[in-house]
Amino acid sequence: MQTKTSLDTIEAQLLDFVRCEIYDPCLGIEADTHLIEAGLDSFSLLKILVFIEKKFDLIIPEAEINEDRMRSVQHISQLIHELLESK
Amino acid sequence: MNLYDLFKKTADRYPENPAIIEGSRIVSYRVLDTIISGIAKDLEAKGVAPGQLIGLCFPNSIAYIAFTYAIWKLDAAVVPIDVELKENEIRQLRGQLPIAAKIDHKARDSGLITGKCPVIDTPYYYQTVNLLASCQTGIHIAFVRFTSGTTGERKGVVLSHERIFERIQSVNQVLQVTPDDNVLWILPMSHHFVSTIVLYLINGATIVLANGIWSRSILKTINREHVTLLYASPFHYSLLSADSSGQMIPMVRLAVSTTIGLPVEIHERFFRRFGLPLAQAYGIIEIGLVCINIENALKKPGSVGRVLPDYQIQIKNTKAYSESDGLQCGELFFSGPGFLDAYFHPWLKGKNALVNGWFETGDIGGMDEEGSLYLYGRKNNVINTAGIKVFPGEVETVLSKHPAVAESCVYGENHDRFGQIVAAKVVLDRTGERVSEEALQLFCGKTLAGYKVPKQIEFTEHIEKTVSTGKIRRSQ
Repeated sequence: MQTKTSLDTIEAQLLDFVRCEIYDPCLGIEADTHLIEAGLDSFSLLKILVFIEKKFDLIIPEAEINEDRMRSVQHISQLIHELLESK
Repeated sequence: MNLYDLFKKTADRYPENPAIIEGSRIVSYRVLDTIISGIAKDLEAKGVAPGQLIGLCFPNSIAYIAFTYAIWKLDAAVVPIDVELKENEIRQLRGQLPIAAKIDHKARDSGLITGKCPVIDTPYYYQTVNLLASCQTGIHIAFVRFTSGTTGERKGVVLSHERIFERIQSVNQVLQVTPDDNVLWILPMSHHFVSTIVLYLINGATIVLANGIWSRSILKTINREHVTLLYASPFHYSLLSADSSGQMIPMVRLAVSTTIGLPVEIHERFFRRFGLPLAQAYGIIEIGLVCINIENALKKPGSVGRVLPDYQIQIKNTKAYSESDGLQCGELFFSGPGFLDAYFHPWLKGKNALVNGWFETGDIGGMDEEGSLYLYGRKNNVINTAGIKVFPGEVETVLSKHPAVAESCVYGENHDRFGQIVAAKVVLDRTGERVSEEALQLFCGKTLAGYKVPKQIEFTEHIEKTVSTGKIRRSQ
């Protein structure tokens, strides 16, 4: 059984991925950056979802894929954390 | 013929119709034509000339459409460059297509609406290739769509203004887009343009650019702008289906699903939520959109529908395939109007790319007694990840450059949201260093666009030489 991942670890890993794979590194994405305002499109969103699926063995339900839950890396990390806790 | 002239004709007929809506900006056909003409003048002053290939690296925007038509107005051709591509991938593209200049969104803010002229990179010229000018190819090129791939793959699908117009006429017999239509646009323009944006603008419709990706705001946009036509991928429909706001979309007359196979489960959820069936479409860059399941969308959600009236289909080599869902499967061939003019690299005339006038799609499918077509897989191993094609060989080449990798095999793994994702099996060099999955992904990400990087890597002792992941297993 996998040990629970801490919120900080999730946020660090996700931020790392988003900085390297989704945005231009020079944009300086932070954990609280509004992802849509920074140019997130649906293809990038798919990449984030697949990353989460592979990294945390977690499929985010469609109902949670919305502006309130996925506004920033911080928000998404919180969501991942909650879903992992309730697993 | 020039697609810009056809647009201009529509613009003269419906000058005050909105052509594109992007948030609060509404650009009428008349204004769009003014923007296009301004850009064309500027590009001409910068040296863009007839017959040249111009790279266009831009996200979805009014600017993207305006640049494309401005380039056409100058009788030059557009090479869409995905904004995701890495420098070395663009270099590869430039090595194979003689691109005269690249218009890059990173160069600066385009500032189109304020009337400022866009800036393009200082044109960089490569060794002259004889095929550069359209007069030498005998083809009035509008588009060259580049697909990166392994050596031996032909790259750069060449489409002329004439062929694109033929496609549009064939597709619109079924879609029946009119000036009363408002189309929601959400897919990347660098991958979808010919049978869509060009079709809408010739027919005087309004293109509504989706603001953001969340279902609530998209539904708001659909209703605010009275959207009548949706054209999106299963993923988008899946997100819309999950919306809990209760907003309905009564104005939408047709919702087309494209890019990857539509899972029946998403079709059902969308229909339950909105009372509207999804019409699955089947298109290939070389031949256009040849099937749309409009008539039987509800009855046969797994089908891509009947073949459009202007096209013919052959299902060949059926002995090599087993039955699927009671249908005899085979390799799909099409004939009809608007097929590719040529492959650019290495150059091959369109008619020579056909087998006795038929285009081999590489797709495997079967047809029921009513003529509805069902797709079951690919003959070769091209990976279709969210509608974007990835060639395994290209990824394997990169993996093999890592010192710890002895051998690798890249394949598509079926995935509910993506259609397929890129996956790899890797045999490590026994004498070499150990390496983690993450390290290999990072290594690939340095030279490959993100969507090509394997999302899962399995370390193994031995690689079988044929990896089949499709539903269809070919007999030997």
